[in-house]
Amino acid sequence: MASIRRPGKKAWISLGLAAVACVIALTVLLERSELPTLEEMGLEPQAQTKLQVRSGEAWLPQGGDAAGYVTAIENENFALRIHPQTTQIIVTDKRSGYEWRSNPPEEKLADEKVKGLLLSNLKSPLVMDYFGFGDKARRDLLNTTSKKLRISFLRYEGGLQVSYEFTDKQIGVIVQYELSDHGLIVHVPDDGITEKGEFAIFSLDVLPYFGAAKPGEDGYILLPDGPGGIIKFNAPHSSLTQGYSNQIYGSEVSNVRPDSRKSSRGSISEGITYPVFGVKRGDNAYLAIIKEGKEETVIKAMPAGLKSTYYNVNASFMYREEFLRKNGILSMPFKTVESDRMKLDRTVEYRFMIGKEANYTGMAVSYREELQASGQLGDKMAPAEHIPLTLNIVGGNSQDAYNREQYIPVTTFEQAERIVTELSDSGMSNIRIVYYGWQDGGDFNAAKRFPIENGLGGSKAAKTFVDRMHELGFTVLFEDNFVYVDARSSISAKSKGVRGINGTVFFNGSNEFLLKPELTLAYAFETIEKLKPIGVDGIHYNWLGEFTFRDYEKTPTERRQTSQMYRNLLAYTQQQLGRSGVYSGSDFSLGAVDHISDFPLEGNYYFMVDETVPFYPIAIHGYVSYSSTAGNMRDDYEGQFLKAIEYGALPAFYVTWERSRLLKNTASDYLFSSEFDLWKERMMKEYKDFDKLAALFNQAIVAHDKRSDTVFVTTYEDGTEVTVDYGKRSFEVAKGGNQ
Amino acid sequence: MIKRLFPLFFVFGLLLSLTPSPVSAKLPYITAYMDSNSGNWNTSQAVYVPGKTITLSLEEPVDLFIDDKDIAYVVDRKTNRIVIVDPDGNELRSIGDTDGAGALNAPEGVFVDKEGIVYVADTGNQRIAVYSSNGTFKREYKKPDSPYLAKDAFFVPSKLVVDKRGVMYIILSGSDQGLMRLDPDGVFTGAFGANKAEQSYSNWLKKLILNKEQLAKEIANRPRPIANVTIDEDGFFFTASPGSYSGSIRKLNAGGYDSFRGRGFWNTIGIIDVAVDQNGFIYDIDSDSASVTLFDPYGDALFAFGDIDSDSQQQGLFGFPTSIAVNSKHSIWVTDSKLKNIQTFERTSFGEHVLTATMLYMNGQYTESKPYWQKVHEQNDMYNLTFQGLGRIDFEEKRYSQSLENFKIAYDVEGYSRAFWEIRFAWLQRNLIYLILALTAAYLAVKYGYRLLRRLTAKHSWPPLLIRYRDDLKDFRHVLLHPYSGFYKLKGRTSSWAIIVFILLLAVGIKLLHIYFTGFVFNPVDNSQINLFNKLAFFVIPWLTWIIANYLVCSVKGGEGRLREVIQASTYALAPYIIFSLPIIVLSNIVVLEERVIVDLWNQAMLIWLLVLLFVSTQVVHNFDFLETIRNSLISLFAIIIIWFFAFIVSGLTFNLYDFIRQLYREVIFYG
Repeated sequence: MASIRRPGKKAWISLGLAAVACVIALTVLLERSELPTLEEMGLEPQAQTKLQVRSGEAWLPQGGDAAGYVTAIENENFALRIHPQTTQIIVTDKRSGYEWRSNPPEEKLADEKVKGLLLSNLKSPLVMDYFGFGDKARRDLLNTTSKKLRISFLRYEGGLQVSYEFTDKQIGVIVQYELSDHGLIVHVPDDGITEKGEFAIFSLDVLPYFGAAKPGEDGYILLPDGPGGIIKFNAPHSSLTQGYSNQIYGSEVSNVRPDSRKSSRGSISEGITYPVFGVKRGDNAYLAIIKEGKEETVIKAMPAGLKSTYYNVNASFMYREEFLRKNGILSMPFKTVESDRMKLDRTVEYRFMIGKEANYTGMAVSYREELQASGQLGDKMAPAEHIPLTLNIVGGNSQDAYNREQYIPVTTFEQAERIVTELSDSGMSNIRIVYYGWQDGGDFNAAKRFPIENGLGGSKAAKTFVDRMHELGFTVLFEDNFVYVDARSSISAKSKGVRGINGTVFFNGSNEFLLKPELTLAYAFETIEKLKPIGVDGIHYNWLGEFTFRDYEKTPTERRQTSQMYRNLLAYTQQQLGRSGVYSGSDFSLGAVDHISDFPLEGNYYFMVDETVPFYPIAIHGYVSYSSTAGNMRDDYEGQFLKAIEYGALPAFYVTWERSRLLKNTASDYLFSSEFDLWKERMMKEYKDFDKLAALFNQAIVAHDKRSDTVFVTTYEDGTEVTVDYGKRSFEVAKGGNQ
Repeated sequence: MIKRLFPLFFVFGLLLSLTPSPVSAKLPYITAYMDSNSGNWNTSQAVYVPGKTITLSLEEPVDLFIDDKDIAYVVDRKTNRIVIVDPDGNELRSIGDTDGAGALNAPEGVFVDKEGIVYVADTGNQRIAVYSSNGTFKREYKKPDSPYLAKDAFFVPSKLVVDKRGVMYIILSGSDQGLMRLDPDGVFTGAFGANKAEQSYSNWLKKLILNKEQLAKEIANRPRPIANVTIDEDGFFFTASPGSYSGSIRKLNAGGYDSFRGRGFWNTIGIIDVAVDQNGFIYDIDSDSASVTLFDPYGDALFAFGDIDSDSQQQGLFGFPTSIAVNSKHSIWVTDSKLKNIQTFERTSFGEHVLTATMLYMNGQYTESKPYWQKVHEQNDMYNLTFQGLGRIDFEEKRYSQSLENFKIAYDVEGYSRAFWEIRFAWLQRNLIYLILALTAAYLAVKYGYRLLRRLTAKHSWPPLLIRYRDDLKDFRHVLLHPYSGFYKLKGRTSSWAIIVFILLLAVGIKLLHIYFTGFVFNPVDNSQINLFNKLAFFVIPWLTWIIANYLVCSVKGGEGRLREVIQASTYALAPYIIFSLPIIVLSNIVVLEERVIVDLWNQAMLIWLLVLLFVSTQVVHNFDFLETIRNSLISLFAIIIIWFFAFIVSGLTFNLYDFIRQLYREVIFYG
């Protein structure tokens, strides 16, 4: 030691400089990661075409009928009449002669108990929630009975434009009605909204009482609750303090709403995954599809007795988010509203059905036609000789143990091969494998996936496994999450996390943040490249099919853009690897996924919803496959199995080679029981049952009937009828003749 | 025998982490089971799923009674009637809504006896109204004449039960004197089952300090009122008294004795009502934890589910629950006066299996419970009680190693110990001879090997450093057996730092052995979840503070010991810990629960010895007399407490500072 000369001052300085340079270089290198941009990947969200506000000579409606309605537009099937003073509309379905009214007729409002604003809302085709910039916490309603309202009409090719201007509030809004072959189209162009003064629009309910019905009538409201839920007009309902009100694709995750629910643990409710609602009244029905602006739309339904004696449902367009603002660490949060309006056009199409089609099956078929017409649904699937089983193999996960992070392998690639081989040997001949927990150290570190976890055998074993599965004719997808990032990851939340409405990076209750959608795509893009050499057939994505959100950056990423980017990624994955899968299956993922897991077959147990119906399954069966709660995750083993049969879902299971108890202290503790030895027999038995429906795999559902409280029949294209009896806990498949 | 490990502390409500998992929960509520080992609620699949929602035209359902034919009697206070509902939720008829003597006025409670006679707490009319099974009014009981009852006291019955002899036990609104007992003739026969007024330390302190006038101004310490009562088939009364965990549910016999002895119950601080099924399982609905909780017949929590939501829209979320009842098919019915409905919940197959298995197990029907436990295990590998059950069955069927394994998974020490006894017994039977031989051989080897070693080493000439180390270690042994002379000797010479550090490391090493290798019977925990740093800190910090306190105090008090001497002596005083621990650790792996006294004795002996050595070291190092040593040791202890107290306060304050900086950091990092 003593022989080494002490470094001189100069040496120290140069050493210091070198160190600083190193640090800077390193940070720059790390910061400028090689993540591809959206343009480089070619996965940018599509630009949107704007709706036009029409201009021209005003139309003065004249020569009304006895009640004062004037015919404004008409086509082969429908005619639209409007009342010049109230602007209430009546759409006549010429095929049946039925009149769909925007509001209950005046003479029927005599027995309403409500007065004032609530009563006048019943008379208005438009209810606007507005606020003043002076006191953003206070909101009020405007409707067409409000004073100082200037109304003007304009007719254009196939349409009618109604302009409303609330002169004292200096707010204006334009509604356009058009008639199509299927029914009525309602536009609210963003360019038509004017906010010139102290007041601004918070939300807008267009046609809130369209098709509203009194209790006791024959009919129901269809809600996008789970696979579809109906509120019957003639059933008794519990006393509720508020109606159904849910935003499509879930409310903004980063926004803690001031009016959020007051339950102690937070109720569990799955978001809306498809943008529709409907009303059936006797032999007539309509299905409303929200098209433009669906991401910022709330579907509202009221049971009779809450705000009026009518049952009603409508789309409520959100223009601003209400949120709790905190100005400092110590100050109390206060309620406020965003200043900037969401600049989105809004379009709802009401498709009318009559006679035999006037029910939820008809509505679902109509929705399917719309999905096909817009090219969203894709082609029908190829027939399958045997029903495909989704086999979710959980490799392992990490736990806190011995004061560190410890990976607990429960199914190595070798063991996975043994599982599949055993199943294959016992006669299971169509398996779609989804492999979980393959990432280095488990799935919590979103920044580090490779090399594939050594505890499972590493990349080499992975490749061998995938090759072996291909020999057996099975596909292997890897499950991954590119959306929620654990704060333990090495990714910087500041630069890569989604910003909430307050401008700070949003963290959820488990200390996870959301990755910016373009980075989700970039990380997935890289992962796809690295999975290619292993031969993986696709990625099953967590969180890409469940919801969408807004990134409150200076130039925000809107919910629409997020969902479009997600769809682009799913399509890209299909193109690069072959397959992609999601959970829940929001409508924006349709056509870009091969399979939907955890597809909702149950509603959310709303008191208001009297019955769960297979609306969404009917719309997509045959075009994309779906499986519900995995066999070993069910709350009600037999009941949910029968439901899967009734709604045409595919079988799915979670398996591990080791006992699932090993995962008790990991994030995978939801696997109550997944040990392969315990489940093999039950899996085989259930597979044989599901396999009876193999021929129906790529057929559309044409009818669904309730024969009694416990017996339901689902009919497919070729006439095959599947009868499920919940009382006897059995089902039957009767082959149809018209193959 | 079931392990009765009741956690000493209560955690408010359910402790659940809601991490986003790829598996979506479909039900609007979480079902959790009580992990009695950790004292945590963990999620499981549902044991109850929502069944029907019964609305009828109820306006304000406040009480519910289900008879043994599963007919439900619902008290609808606002419409002044008792609605009788069949098991499918259809209204059969109603009672008390016709004019006349039988007309009810804001009734609040109902009870139906075996003959179908309906007793109604007709609160508004201040009477008990009695109806025959077909609903005709029979008689009424007004406020009884009794010298015990104040003349001006109102008779406001709200709930009631009736025993087999027809004696009525009535809850009076707001009364804290327990249930009022009326015989079939309407004669008052005394109060029954009042809660005791709770004695708290603050009350005790008040009594000491305050004068009479001040005391009179204090709010009187009244017993908790009974909110609800139910009676089971054997005639036990179950009372629900909100306000505190202990005694919230009591099981009273006819003499008013509580079989639960005031034990605590999870999720009962805001208990609204309690129900008991035919197997003795207890169900409560609680507004504080906002859940329905199931208990076994001994009062241990099993499962909890449900939630309360002031804007409830979904089944399983209550608005204002008022009453709970269970029918013979184990369906749970809950009335709700806000939602104006009755929600029913049906057992799932998992619930059926797990609760049947538990029931059979508690009755000692182990063989019968076996298929059910197996079913439960097929559905849930996480649930602990399963392994207790399976372990017990393995034990009965003499598969002891299997049983041992299962008891270990369930953290059932008692069961584990019993299985271990059997295994040890079998092993000894087989290997006794070898064991004796091996022990003899070991003894001889040690005895002669040591001599041999000495003879061999004596011939060598050692480097001086090693000789010093050897002498230091010799002192170590000397101190252990002859403390006074040992410490005097130590005082005369300073041992090398190397040996001091070596001894300390050895002590820490042995602590590690203690943590990880103590037998399961003495340390039933999951090793992987031990927080090692905490454990070591609790071992090292007391020793360090002792040195500091001892040095500081004694040097002020005229002790002559230098810091180094204190450190040295305190290190050598650890000798008993080091020497005794190994046999204790080994023993703890060999003995069963009944023999734990052996290990405990060793432990205590070690502790006493350690204290004696510390005491002697203090005396010798500082050259105190005996009394001085006692005095200064006590002062040192006091100093330790003060040091910790300050450390605690400082860390508390710095935590605030730390938190402030952290918040600031977050603000800077995640904003802007």
